[in-house]
Amino acid sequence: MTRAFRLDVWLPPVVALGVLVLAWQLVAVHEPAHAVATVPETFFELAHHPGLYWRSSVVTLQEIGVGLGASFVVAFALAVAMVHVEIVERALMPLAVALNVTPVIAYAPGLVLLLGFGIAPRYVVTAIVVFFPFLVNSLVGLRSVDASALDLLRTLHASRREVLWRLRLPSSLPYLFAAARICLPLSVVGAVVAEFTTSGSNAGLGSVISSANQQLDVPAIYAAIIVLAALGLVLTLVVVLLERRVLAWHPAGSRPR
Amino acid sequence: MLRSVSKSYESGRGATLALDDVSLVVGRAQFVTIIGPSGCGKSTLLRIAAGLVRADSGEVSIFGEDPRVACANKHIGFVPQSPALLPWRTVLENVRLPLQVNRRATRGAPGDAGGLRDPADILAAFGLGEVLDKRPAQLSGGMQQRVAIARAFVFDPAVLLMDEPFSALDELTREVIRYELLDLWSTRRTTVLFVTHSVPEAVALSDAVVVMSPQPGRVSALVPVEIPRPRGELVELTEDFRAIERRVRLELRTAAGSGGRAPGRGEQ
Repeated sequence: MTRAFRLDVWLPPVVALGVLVLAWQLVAVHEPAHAVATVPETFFELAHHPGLYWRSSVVTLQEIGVGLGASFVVAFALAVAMVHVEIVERALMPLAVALNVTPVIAYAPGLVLLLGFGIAPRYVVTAIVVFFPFLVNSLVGLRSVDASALDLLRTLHASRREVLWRLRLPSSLPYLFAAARICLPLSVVGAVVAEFTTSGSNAGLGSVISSANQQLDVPAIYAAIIVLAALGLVLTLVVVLLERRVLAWHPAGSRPR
Repeated sequence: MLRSVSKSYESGRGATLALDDVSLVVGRAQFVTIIGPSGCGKSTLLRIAAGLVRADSGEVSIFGEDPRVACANKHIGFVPQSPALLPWRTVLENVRLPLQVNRRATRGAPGDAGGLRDPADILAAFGLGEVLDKRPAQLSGGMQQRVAIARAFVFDPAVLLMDEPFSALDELTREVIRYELLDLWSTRRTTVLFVTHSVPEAVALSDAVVVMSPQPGRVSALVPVEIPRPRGELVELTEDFRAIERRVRLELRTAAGSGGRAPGRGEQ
């Protein structure tokens, strides 16, 4: 029997999810102020407004994709520069740390004022939230090369570019996938926080929560949360599957036994 | 060729002299082994010859070229202590690596027409024909080291520098692989500078054994190995072999001084 159909693989998470849904329903039913939507109310909301949640998901997904992608490209390019020119790291790493320790919620309104109420500040906020983990993991990954393999390439007079493509980049892949696993949930947080502060055009799932909150539409809040959770899970699953394929040679890419 | 090479390292307690006025000449097609107790600077010597470390003073030349120029011309093959195989590449791709980097030097190499060898052929000659598409993690330590040696031979370098390549292997594998290396070497007669801790290994492989003394590293003796080639495993049972082995051990004890201890037979 393949792993995908094994009961001991699927049963534990399914039972845990069942227990969680049951507990949610019990709390919702016995909560007197009706501040928690019941399970049927939530799924009724989803079933009756599928277009709204689909469109909102696409917007949030777009923010995650652009923010994450742009952040990764900039962070990796910067890490490459830092590995090769020490002064770049000394100059820019303190700024990156400062950016990381400043709460995103603090500068998001300022970005909206600067970039307008469109989708642009959301991209930037999402990108900033995931920038530091990408930068640090890229840096560690690019430096985590086998010293003997580096010696070997040096005796072959390999150029910096050859060392980067043939040794540093593949060596850094386990670290980049680890960063992706950390950054995906962070990017969802970043996108939702950005939407909270920029609600208006192109409503994403964060905007749906924000406006439902103002209208005390509890089922809509829970429906958007469920969709966000599903979105995060699907994205994480994509990364895990990609990691298994790309890192087949590495212990991180092999399945747990 | 190394002439009056010295090298010191900075440490917390000041400068430590690793090599002091070391001179060594290795002729073309010779297999020369450097042996000595830990800390005698034999790996430093090899790294200087490979252009990985610069000597503080003295002259280093790889058949007339500065080591860095020799590297640029791909005249140096380096086999480090660990196999240093790239885990994401298959065995065949790992052996192809030297042909894929610094291609300008390979194209200009005098041996381009006949010197460069087909990676698959060299692997097959080394008993690795069945594992071309396997990844390094799927191979035993001995097989990984064979791949590393095949990778060094594949671009036909003028000099092969081998830094204790068998030190991580068990004694049985080590004995087998040393004669496989000799077989491969006998077809190319590449000049080899080989570092080891093992006396029988040094005697079995070499035309000459260089004994080094520690702190600071100096050449204390040069023992010629005048045993006819080709050599097989049975050579280790001959009286000539044992006599040279005894002499190397004696030189090692002298080099180690009263505070040192020479490696025992098979000790790594």
